[in-house]
Amino acid sequence: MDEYRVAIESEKQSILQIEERILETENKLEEYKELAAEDKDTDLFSDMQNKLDEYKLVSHSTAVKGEGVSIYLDDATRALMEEEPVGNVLVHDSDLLTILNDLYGAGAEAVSVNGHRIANGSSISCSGYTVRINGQFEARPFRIKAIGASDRLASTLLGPDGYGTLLKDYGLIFKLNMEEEVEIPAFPEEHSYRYMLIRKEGETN
Amino acid sequence: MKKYSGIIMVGLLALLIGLIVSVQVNTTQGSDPGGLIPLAKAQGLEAELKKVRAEKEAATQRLIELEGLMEDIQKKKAEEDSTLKSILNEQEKYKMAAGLVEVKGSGIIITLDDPEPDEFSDGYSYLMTNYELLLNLVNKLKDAGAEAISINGQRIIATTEISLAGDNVNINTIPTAPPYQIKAIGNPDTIEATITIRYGIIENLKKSGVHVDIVKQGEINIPRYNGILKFRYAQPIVEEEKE
Repeated sequence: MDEYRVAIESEKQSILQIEERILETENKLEEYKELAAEDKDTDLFSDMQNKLDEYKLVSHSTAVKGEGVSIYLDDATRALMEEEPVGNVLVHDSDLLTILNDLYGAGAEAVSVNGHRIANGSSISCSGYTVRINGQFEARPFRIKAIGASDRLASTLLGPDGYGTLLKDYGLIFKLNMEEEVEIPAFPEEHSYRYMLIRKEGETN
Repeated sequence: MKKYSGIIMVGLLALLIGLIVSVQVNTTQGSDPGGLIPLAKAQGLEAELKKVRAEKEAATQRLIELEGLMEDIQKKKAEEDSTLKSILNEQEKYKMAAGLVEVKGSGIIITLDDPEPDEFSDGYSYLMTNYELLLNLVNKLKDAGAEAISINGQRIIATTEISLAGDNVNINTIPTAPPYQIKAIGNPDTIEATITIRYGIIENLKKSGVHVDIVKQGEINIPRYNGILKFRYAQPIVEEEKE
């Protein structure tokens, strides 16, 4: 019964999203039709250029600035308790993943870790004493920057159930500052793909 | 007092019957989940699900139609103008990087389902209460070079959050539940080898009793991100007059 409930709710929410996109496309189409009919090619040109800039922005290919938070994260300096595993006082890749996930949940639009912009394909993996981010090796301390509503971003991590609070309870160093403006670099590489191709709508295999 | 004794008796009997039924339901559910769901109710839900799916299909068709019309105008103009044509090509490239187009390619399909409930289980879904497993798996897939990933039809992009919201795990704010089907496009052998490494994530899942099924495939499709991607806080840093 539960599966039905979730599936129905899931489909309903998807429909809302699609309807939003239909509305957006309808408006755009009207605009384009007018521009095309009146032969206003320069307007069409600038509109398409704007759209291109928007796609660059949301694919994390543009350096950005805005309201947000900066976080400083480091291993605990306290001594281990008897028989306590050493992992308790160290920053792990899963800690970074959880912090990022919580930031996105609170509406973060752009995030960097030690200066590396997180894009769609970015992974954060532990490799011994270092962590690999976007294929580059980084070590503690970790500096995370995120752009979004700074109060939401701060409260999701610093609330009583927040992950930052949990890390602090373990003695790790977790400092968060709300910032009027943080700057985050662009994802540095060309987006090139070896395996995936665009699938045209309605195409069948 | 006497006038209550009948009521108390009935009350006790009701309690007893209730207990028997609940024990019965519990044992039956273990061996045959869904066996006791009233047929009419299940049929009603099935019909409702079919209805919303049809609605979604219709909305999707309408969107495809509109996007097609839009593309026609742009392509026609692009034929006359090579600058427009290059803008269109660039748009396609960055849309792909943003997860805003449906893609296909070789890859892997991983299906995860909850362990069978035993006498110790608390009725909660193992996969849902441990949703950070999905987070870790996604990270491993990216590490293995996956170029596109989806979970139960939700495209995973950088800003995707996987979170427990009430009884559901929300992905891209859309509620989901097990079984989880995770698709990834990339080198199927590399991806499989990465996640099935000894003491790795798949081995740990299996140890916890999770049902894992991995299929490598020559071609799989992964849907686009379904929402509207717009930034409200992040503004581009404009370098001085870059041409």
